[in-house]
Amino acid sequence: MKDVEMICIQCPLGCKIKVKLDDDNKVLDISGFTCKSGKEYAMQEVTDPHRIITTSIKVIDGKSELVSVKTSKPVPKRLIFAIMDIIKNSSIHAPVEINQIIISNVANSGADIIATKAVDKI
Amino acid sequence: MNKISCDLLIIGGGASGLGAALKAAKEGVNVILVERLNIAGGILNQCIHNGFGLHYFKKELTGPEYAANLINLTKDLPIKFLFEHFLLSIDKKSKTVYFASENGIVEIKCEALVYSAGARERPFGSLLIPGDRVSGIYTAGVAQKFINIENRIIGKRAIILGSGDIGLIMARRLTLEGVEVVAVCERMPYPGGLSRNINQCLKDFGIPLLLSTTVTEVRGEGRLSEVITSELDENYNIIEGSQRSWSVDTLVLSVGLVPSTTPMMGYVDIDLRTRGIIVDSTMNTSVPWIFSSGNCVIIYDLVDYVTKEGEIAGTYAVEYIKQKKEKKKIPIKKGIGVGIINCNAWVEQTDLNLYLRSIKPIEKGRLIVKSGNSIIFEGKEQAFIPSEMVHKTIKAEQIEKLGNIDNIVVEIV
Repeated sequence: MKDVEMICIQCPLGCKIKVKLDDDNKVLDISGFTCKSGKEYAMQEVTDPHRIITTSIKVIDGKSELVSVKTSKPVPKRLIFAIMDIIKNSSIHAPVEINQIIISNVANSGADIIATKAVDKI
Repeated sequence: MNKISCDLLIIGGGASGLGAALKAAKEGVNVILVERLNIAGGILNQCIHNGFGLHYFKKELTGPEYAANLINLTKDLPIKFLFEHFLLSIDKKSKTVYFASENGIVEIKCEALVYSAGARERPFGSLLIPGDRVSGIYTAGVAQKFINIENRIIGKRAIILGSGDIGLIMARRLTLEGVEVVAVCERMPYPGGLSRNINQCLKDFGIPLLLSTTVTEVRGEGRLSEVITSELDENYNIIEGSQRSWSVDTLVLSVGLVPSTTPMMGYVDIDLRTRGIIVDSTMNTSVPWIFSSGNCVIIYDLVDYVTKEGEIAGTYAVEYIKQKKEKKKIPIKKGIGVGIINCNAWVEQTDLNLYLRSIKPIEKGRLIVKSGNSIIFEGKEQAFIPSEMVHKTIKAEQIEKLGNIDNIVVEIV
């Protein structure tokens, strides 16, 4: 049995969550969360931690050189650098709409890379 | 000279100015919003990370998404945006405000003004760090703008001074963009940013956080090549022999924000310690027709608060335009345990939105709002740290039931 303590990253409140695990890393008890999303975060964090990635992608013929993007849902932490590599080697032609899918199912994560702002064509 | 007029003039098109514009325009007054850049949204546009909007929009958004959502709400409302205009001066008597623009001076006559110009970063020069004056030293916001907006990388190997949220966010951002971040130094014995950011920006990437440590020298020829850090004792004096040398070409500073109030000096009362504009519970300044909201008043933790405060400024600016009635103000005093606080006075018949930070970490304490021996509000026992702002709304009735009072004291005991 072991206890894992973590700070929830779901919102700026930063609740301190405790998870009790048995010897096979099965969750026995979760305490300290103050919302549903905090409990889910703690479950995920002890099994396979996930994160939303926010970064930017190069825009061709746009009014700005970059468009900010994010993953449409949290992706496994272990894929962060693989996904960053794919994004670094990608570009998109303007105009770009907010919420537009730029890369679908990035690195087979099930998440899409979507624009978080609009970029007009020059 | 270009002369125009409006009911309400708002200076600053960021999260707070937009909030003020929204509320005021919904009340039917005509609004002119003046912004120095060519787009609205302010600093949100370069904060491409997520974590915004949980309170105001009830969902987690990135900075540009929060800005886009807010700008969307202003559509179809009587708000005229004037971009690339910069505040020059104010004529208090005639309620006329002068701006510089590409087409010359613009003169705007208004009934009321909301000043929401945000904050600026504390610069390297103010830290008095000895050594060479080299390139490769950036404030976090400037580094963020280079990377997120201008598509420029700022260096190869970086050290970060200051563990405020912007510094932590930049540690992750630099790492994702291939810059090696060797450490984040913090002169205080506790971190400056939110716990969640220590977790997801530093721990996720194995970046060390060095507490009670600061930068004591910068060296290089032309470009930064070496940073010296030193550990500090409990009185913030350098511990001899604790010096460490870091071979880096980049130093990123996240050493705090200062309210941007220089253009307002001489027009409204400003807190000489924090440099924030002094306002009451209606966001009214020392001048009846001038209101102010956002980070030019106090540095907030959450952009959601900044928009909410803008809405209050907009609401009461409209009330002033329509009624021009003076209301009684009760001063609010900072009691023990409180570091900084907004607002400065309670106006009768209004709800009191208190935002405050403790003066130091307090393991167990209660927030108490009182007048004389009468308790207005007593919070539950909780932990306080200066980096996490406390927000409490007290309804007008709760204060009014005490009858006549001379002052309100806020303390953490």
